[in-house]
Amino acid sequence: MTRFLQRLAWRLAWRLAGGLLVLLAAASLTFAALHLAPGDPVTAILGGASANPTPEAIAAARHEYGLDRPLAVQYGLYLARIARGELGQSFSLHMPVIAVLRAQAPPTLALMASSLGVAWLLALLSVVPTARRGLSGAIASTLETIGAGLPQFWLGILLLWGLAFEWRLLPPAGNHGLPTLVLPTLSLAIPLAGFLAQVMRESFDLALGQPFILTARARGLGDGAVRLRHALRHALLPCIGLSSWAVGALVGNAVAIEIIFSRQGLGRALFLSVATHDMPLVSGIVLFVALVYILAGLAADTLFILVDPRLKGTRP
Amino acid sequence: MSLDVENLSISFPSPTGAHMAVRDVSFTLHPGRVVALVGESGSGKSVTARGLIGLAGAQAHVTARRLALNGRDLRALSPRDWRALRGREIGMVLQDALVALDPLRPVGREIAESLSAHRWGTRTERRQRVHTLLQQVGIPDPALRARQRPDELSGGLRQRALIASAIALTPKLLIADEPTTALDPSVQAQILGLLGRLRDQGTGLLLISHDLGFVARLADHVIVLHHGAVVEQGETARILGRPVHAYTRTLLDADPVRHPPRAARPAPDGPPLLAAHALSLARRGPDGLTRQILADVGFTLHPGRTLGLIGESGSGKTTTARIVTGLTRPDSGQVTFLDQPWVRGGGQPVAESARRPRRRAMAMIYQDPLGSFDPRWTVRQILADALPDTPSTGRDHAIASLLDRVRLPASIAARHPAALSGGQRQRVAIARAVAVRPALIVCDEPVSALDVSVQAQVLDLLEALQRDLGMAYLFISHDLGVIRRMCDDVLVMQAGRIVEAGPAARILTAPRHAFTRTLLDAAQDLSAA
Repeated sequence: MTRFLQRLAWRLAWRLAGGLLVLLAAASLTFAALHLAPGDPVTAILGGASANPTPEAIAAARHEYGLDRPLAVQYGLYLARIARGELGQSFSLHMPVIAVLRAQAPPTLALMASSLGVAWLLALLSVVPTARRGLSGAIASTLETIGAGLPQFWLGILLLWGLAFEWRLLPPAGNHGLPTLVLPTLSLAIPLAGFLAQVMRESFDLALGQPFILTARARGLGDGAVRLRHALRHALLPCIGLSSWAVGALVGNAVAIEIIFSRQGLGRALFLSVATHDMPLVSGIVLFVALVYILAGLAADTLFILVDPRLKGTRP
Repeated sequence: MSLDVENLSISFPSPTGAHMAVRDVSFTLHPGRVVALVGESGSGKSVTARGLIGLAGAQAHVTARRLALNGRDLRALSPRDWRALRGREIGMVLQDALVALDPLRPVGREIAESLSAHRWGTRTERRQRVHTLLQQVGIPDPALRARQRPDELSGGLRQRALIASAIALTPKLLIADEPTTALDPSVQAQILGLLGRLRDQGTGLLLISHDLGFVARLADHVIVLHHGAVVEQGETARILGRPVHAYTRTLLDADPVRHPPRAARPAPDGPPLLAAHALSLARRGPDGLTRQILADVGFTLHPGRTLGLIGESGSGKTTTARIVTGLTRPDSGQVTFLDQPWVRGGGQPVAESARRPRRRAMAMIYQDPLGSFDPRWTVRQILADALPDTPSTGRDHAIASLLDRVRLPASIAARHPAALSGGQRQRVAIARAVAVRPALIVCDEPVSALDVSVQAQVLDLLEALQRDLGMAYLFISHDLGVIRRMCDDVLVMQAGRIVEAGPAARILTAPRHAFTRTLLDAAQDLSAA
């Protein structure tokens, strides 16, 4: 067992190192974007062409950001600042980027977590009772395909119109409490559930055809137990991999959903910061999203080993 | 307690009407007796076994004049009654425990599930019982083994664990569906012993096998199935000794053991075609430990001769073949082919460009040819690909003559590999191999996946081709009957080393090394002769 933990620790350390590399790449990209974008980086830092800063402010910012020094030094300074957690000042919101992240990240993370959770729940409910069961399987499979094909923003608008405006069952907008989370969550979760369920159905179906399923049935195990105790575990692996990808996709889709439902959040902040050319905020959000994506990958890696212990690679 | 089966038929719906998988099978299975169902793939053996425990599938239509366990009619059983019966009164063992046990769970939990499915005992009692069962099937150190997954156990141990899970509630009847297929002969002999003990303790066995030797050792009564119909059934000694039906005779004659061994030929002089010298290879396993996979392996192969490579799985046979074909580079040692360096370990590898002119002199045949064909290609395309120098005008003729050489009709050229039978597929693979007129064909278990009658035909074909074209074979097989029939010389491998080498006639009759004797004894235990 201790050797297993040791190996797990090694694996995690490797992944962590890989994750840092990805963060470095993301930081380098935002640095490059800042310097390759047309115009003087100082004007970008100070609020774009329309900001009209005073010459003193430009000089001060130029000195503060080290823009009067060689590019390599600037790059080093930039990385050093990020390493210290200094992401700069958002000019469009007039507050530090860190503070923006602190305020905007929790609602988006909550939305992502609830969407992923609901998507898993829907996928499980759709696949486990219906796989390889004739008509119900065919119907569920069709619904999954339709679900996977729904555009999130369109679904969001539809839900908003139906459940919030026509029937007034749920609040149409806002960030307060669980009811406001329901519609955005459904808009993100239903298409994701469709994807997840399609992958899950295929591997579940494959697992149900394996000899060990026949062995389990020959032991006198009922169909429900066969599905839950044997087939399901085999079907989880590809879904875990898909989920870690979905975390990245959810951030992207959150942009549209947070705007449609007028929610606070990173997606909305990202949209606004891009629209106002608020480069420090864009870089900060990109770095944060990269971090979340890396952590999701780490979590998936650990879950893989828990679900399929063969991956630890302790063979005799 | 007995199982009475009378006129059992099972059919499946198909686009062309009901397809009868099994027709009118009748037998009675008593405790302490063994009934064997024998036949080739597709003969309906496994479907019959599954029909007996109500697991033939939702699509299956099962009928019988009588299907009764101890007088109780099984035809009208509800799903709940079937579940109560499975595992408790009739157990079932499938082939290859690596996939017949859940690969993600420790074997102890799989065995305990046989108990918990019938609400047997408390958790602690079940754990105790699992340990007792593991001991009962001859697994030492049960507390450790119960916590290991099938992939962490050797082939023999996991097959025993599978049997332990089937006999957990001591069912009076046990169905064993190809319980030893794909196992090494020595492991097969152990499983044979275990099943024999269960029979002696009063378990009734329904044994399903394509291996007549295995059946002969255990069965009291044999039923020979062909295309779902019973062609012959009766006492084992009668069926195997004085078969009446032509198909039974075909099956018996196809057993390579019944074929006369290869006639000894004097050792040739002259330079060898292929010479391997001191091949060694070590690899780090997934657990971080370095294992010696090959150690100091050397041999020579002369033109027109067949060198057999035998040993248990994991002994390095396939690795040797991969080095000989230039697919794996050894750490040290070298291979000479056609008098020039072919593979060299260490610092100065032989470049693939130096091998390429001689590549066509060496061909390969694998156990499962399906995986070595592009599924979208027709047989014509597969063979045309092996004949790049033939002008397109003569190509169809060349393909037809190749197919004729491997005794396939020319009409097969338009078909895809998936639409061919296993035997036809292997013939296409052989046709592709001989298309380039090689001097050497490396055959890795070329007939292991084939039914015995097809096996015999493919071996006949390989012999005839060698006679006509003068090729040498490097022949890997775990089946000593096949080796005896095909090989001039034999190498015995154990744990990456050659423990014995010499003429086949000598090694297979008067082995010197203890390991070779073990292999021969195991094969002897399993042979019908």
